[in-house]
Amino acid sequence: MSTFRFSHTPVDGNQLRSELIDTHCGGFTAFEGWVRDHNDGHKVTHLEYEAFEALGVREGERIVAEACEKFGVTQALCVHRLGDLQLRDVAVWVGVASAHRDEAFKACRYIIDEVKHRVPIWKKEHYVSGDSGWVNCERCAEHAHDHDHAHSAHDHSHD
Amino acid sequence: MRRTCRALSAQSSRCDEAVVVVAYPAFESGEAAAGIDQPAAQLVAIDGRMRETEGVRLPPVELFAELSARHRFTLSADHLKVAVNAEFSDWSRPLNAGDTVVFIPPVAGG
Repeated sequence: MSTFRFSHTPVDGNQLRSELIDTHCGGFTAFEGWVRDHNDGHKVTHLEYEAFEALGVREGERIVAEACEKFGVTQALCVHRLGDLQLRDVAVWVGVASAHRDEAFKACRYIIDEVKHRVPIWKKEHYVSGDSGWVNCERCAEHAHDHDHAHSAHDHSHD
Repeated sequence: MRRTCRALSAQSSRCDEAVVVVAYPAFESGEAAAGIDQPAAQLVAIDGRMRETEGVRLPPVELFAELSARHRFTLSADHLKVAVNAEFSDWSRPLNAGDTVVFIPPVAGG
């Protein structure tokens, strides 16, 4: 089973956790990203996620492999939800199991941070006002003057 | 990529020979930016064979410039990455007939 997957149905953390159970592991940690009711001063009603899945799975698997190698963890898995999401839904789930807790925490953090910056996923927010917008694109336009023009060095991060 | 084939068949009967350009959300045109809600992805087919016979080896950077002029994309190439056949690619790589090119706007997962 792939170490990075997209899901068009609700994400069940307990079920995913069971995939990582390993007698060599003494520690497990998970991160869940939830749909919250606000962003950048706007009240959010629901979200849509869309991805370039073929590339996204490859890049996601690359990230998980990097985390396993970098931190020496035994088991890691990331699942990102796509489609229409409501408040409180799990948008992304990362789970890591390892011999000890330190590397599990570090690998989990690494995976979620890299996924947010590298995997081709887009989020459209719908607001109480009735408006909607693709997150980051507007900021990207606003901050155009800050960008490095070398394509190879370009970072999509907007944190 | 399901959308690709559906949209392409509407625009070109020579699916196998085309360079397929898939433009994801941020490529909403000037009109869309003004408030008209459009489908999330816009798709444009370019006939790759025709370009080859003309001796044009079109890299993504030139393809993007051409499409951007035609469709008034709201993002410039500075904000994008490019993938050819579902792998991140260099902007100057020549394209061949049958290649699928995806311009990737700033991502927002998580």
